[in-house]
Amino acid sequence: MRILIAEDDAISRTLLERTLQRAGYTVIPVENGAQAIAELMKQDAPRLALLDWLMPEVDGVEVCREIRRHKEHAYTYLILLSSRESKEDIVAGLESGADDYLTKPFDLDELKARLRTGHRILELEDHLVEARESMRFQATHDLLTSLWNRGVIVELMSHEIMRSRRERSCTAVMMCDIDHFKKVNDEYGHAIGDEVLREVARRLHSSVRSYDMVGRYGGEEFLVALNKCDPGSAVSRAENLRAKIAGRPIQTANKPVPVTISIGLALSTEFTECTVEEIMHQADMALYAAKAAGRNCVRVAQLAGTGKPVEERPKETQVLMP
Amino acid sequence: MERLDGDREFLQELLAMFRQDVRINLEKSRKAKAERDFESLSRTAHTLKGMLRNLSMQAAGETAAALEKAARENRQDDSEQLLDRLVKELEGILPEVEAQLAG
Repeated sequence: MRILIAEDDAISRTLLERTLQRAGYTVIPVENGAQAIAELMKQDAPRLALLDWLMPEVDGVEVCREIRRHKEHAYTYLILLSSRESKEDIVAGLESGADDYLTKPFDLDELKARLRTGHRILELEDHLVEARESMRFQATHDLLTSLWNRGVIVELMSHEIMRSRRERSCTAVMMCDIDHFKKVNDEYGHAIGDEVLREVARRLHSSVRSYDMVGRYGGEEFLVALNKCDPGSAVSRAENLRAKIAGRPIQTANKPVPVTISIGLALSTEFTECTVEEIMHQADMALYAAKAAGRNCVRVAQLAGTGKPVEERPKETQVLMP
Repeated sequence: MERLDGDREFLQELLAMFRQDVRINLEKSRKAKAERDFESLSRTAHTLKGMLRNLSMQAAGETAAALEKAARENRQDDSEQLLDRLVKELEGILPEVEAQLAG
C-alpha cells in the first residue's frame, strides 16, 4: 500500500518514512502542502496520507480542504498530525475534511492501528463503488450481449435525433433482425442461439464508430443509430453491417452456424415532422419490407411527400441481395 | 532510541540532519528575536520542539515548547529568557551529537 507523508521537518519526515517502510508501506515523502496536493491529485495517487498540520504556506488543513473540494474519484483517507491538542483545533481539523487526527508525539502502534482503520474504510469504499458500477451496468445493458438495453438505446437515440435536428445533421436509424432465428434455436438449441446473439451483437458493435450506438431492442432484434451520418452513405453503411453478419458463418461451440440479418433503415432528415416513435416505426416498416423481399437485405423507409409517415410498405428501390 | 530498533546507521543519519537543522533554526531564532518577529520565533521554536522530541531530547524539547508558547503570546522577556536557556541546552547537546557522529 502506498502512503503519502507531508512533513516539513526533515527529521520527523525521515523517521516516519523509515517506520512506515518497516511496516510494509511504499512511502511518498513530500516537504510541503503544495507538493502534497499535487501528488494527491494525480491519476494514480496514494489513497492514504499523513499530513502535518503546521507547514509553511499551504498547511495540512488546507490540503484536506483542497482534496475534498476537487478530488471526485477514489477516496483519499487523510490523517492530520499535529502537536496542537485543543478541542477547537481538533474540530477545525476534522471539519476541513480530515478523516482522523493524531497528536504528536504519537505512539507508533497507535499510528499503525489508525492506518489499518484507513485501509478498512478504503476497502469499504472500493466495494461500494464496484457494486454501484456493476448495478449501473446491469441497469443499462443487456445481460446476454452487453449492448445497451432497450430502454437506454431508445433514449440515447431520441437525444441523438433531437440533437441532429438542432445541428441540421442526420441520424440513421436501423432496425436489424436476425433471419429465421427461431430455426437456429430449434435446430441447434438455445445455448447455441445465445452464442449467435452474442456474436451478432459483437460484430455489429465492432462495425460502427465509437460514437454510434448499438442496443438490443428485443429477442433477436437490434437497434443501431449512426450519428452525424451522411445520408448519401447510410445505405452502404447498412449494407456493410449486413455483409459483416452474412460474410462468414458464426463459430459456435459445436459447429459453424450461417446467419443473416435484414435491416430496415430510416433517416432522421427524411422525417423531420415525425416523432422519434414514428421514425422507429418507419424503420420497422422498412424491416418488414426487407423480410418480404427475401431477407438478408436492406430496405429504406421512404417519405410519402407530406412529411408525414407513410403507413404502407416502403418502396422497394434498394434490392441489395448479395 | 529504542524506537529505532538499534539501527545505528539510521541514527547517525538523523543526527546529521539534526546538527544541520539545529544550526539553521537557531540562526532563524536569533534573527526573529532581533527583529521582534514573535510569529517567526514561535514557528521556529515549534520546529525545534518537534526535532528534539523526535530524538527523545525531552528537557530541551520542553524548553522549545515553552518558547513556542511565550512567543505566540508576545511575551518578550519570557521569550528572550527561554531562547537563552534553549541555546545553552543545545550547546550541551551538540558536543554529544558530534561525538556520536564521530564514533
